[in-house]
Amino acid sequence: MYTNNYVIVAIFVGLGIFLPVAALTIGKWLRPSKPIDPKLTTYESGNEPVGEGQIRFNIRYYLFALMFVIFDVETVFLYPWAVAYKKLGLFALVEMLIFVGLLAVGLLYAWKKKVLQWTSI
Amino acid sequence: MEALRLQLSDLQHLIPELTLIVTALLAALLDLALPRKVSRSFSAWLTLLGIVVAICFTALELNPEEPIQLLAQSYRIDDFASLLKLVILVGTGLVVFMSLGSAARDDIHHVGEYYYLFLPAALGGMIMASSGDLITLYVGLELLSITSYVLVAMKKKSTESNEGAFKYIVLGGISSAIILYGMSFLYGISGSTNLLAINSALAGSIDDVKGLVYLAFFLLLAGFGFKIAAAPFHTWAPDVYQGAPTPVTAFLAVVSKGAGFAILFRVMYWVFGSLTLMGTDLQKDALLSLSVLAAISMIAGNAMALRQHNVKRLLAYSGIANAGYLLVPIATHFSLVHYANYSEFLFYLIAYLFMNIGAFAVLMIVQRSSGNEELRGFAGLYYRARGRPQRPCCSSFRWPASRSRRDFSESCSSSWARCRRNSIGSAR
Repeated sequence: MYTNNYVIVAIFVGLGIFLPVAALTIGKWLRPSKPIDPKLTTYESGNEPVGEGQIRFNIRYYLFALMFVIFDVETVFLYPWAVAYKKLGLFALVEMLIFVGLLAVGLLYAWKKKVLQWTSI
Repeated sequence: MEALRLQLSDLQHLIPELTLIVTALLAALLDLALPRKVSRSFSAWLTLLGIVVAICFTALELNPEEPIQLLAQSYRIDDFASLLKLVILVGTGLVVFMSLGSAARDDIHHVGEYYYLFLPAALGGMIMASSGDLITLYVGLELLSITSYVLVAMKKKSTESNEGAFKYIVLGGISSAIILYGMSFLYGISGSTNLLAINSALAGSIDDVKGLVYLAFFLLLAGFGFKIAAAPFHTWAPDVYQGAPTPVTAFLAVVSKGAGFAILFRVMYWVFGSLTLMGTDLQKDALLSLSVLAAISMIAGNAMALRQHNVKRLLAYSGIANAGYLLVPIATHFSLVHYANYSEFLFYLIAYLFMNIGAFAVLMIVQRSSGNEELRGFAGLYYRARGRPQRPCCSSFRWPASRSRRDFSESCSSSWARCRRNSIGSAR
């Protein structure tokens, strides 16, 4: 039956709620309670936290994030292709070269438009 | 398994699409390689050349002995697809042609990109027209949408353009998500993304999963309704049309809408309205909801157009109303008595293509001479340009007159506005 498949999903949802609740509750019972002020500060890798949490990020980060997508997508497609390379053969190799070539054009475009320089904007 | 692989021999059927890709790449690389001093108008001519070549190749594919199917039915080259591809390509070509030289005036800085981005957009529309599979369909849809978002934002310094692009990308993203959600239910029911396989699965087990099928249908309808700007999913259209550069507006009104109708037609006929489901409740309800959508679009589009003073917004509402008229052939029952739905749809789409692009071209000329895109920019046109004002009237009045034997009421919104404009013009 179609709906039977969702029993497993329901079990997973139940476990997903139960496990963190149980872990936190049992932890609360077991640990010693010593509330002190420094424990309330934000954890920032050992540095003193400065300023507000919600700030405007530099627009340059977004350009870098977009650039990251190029390589990200490349990996997503290259990896399964590399695993199944022997089965797929020459035609897939050519296809993959075309794909990488198209991505390279994207990278070239970004390079020419000075996305790779931090101070371009 | 072998059928799922693209063969080298399949590529000959994809030549129109490949032409566009190669031209776009060539234009992009040339644009990058040439020094800044060189004028970028070559990009426009290269784009036009690519489109003309693609039109020729597509015309050669017309009337095949039997429909060509690639990649296990996921890409179909039949007359449905080829004719729509011709409409898309001709529309894109006209849009590129009318934006020749206007880019600099319109405050567009990336002239090269502006022209060659029309190519991937047209390619997305062609993929949509040809797809027989949910995945191909979605890839084409996104290619067209994402390129359109960029094109709308081409006036980089204009706030209106940026606002329009932002609204378009947010609402477009939401509608794509809704479409995907609907598709996921269809896949869950049938276990396949192929439209024909989904249809046969539905015909077999419609009663077991009725709720899910209806949910999928309405999600898809809402998502596609957004893409074709049919009311009540039309709210983005006026703002986006107003913000975008005028040729891009024409592109959205004609090519984007036509491609949206292509997939709507394909999905409705192959999945929900097909002969295997003939007479079932699902088919009746699907066609009824399409008719309701059509009626709301016609009423809302025409009524709201009356209050517009900006010509681009006016044309946006005219586009919403026309989406309603274009929905009628899809919503009409497909039967042995009445089976010419596709020809009727295509006939209207072609007429709409030329009428709309003509209207936008006139708007560009008037906008240039009067400096604004309000209706009052048309005032006194008779005195400013003696002998010429009949041309806009020709381009728009030809439209209802040529089809008076069909429904006369269409584009009454624009006719009304035109009457008003004429009266303003003669009053001064």
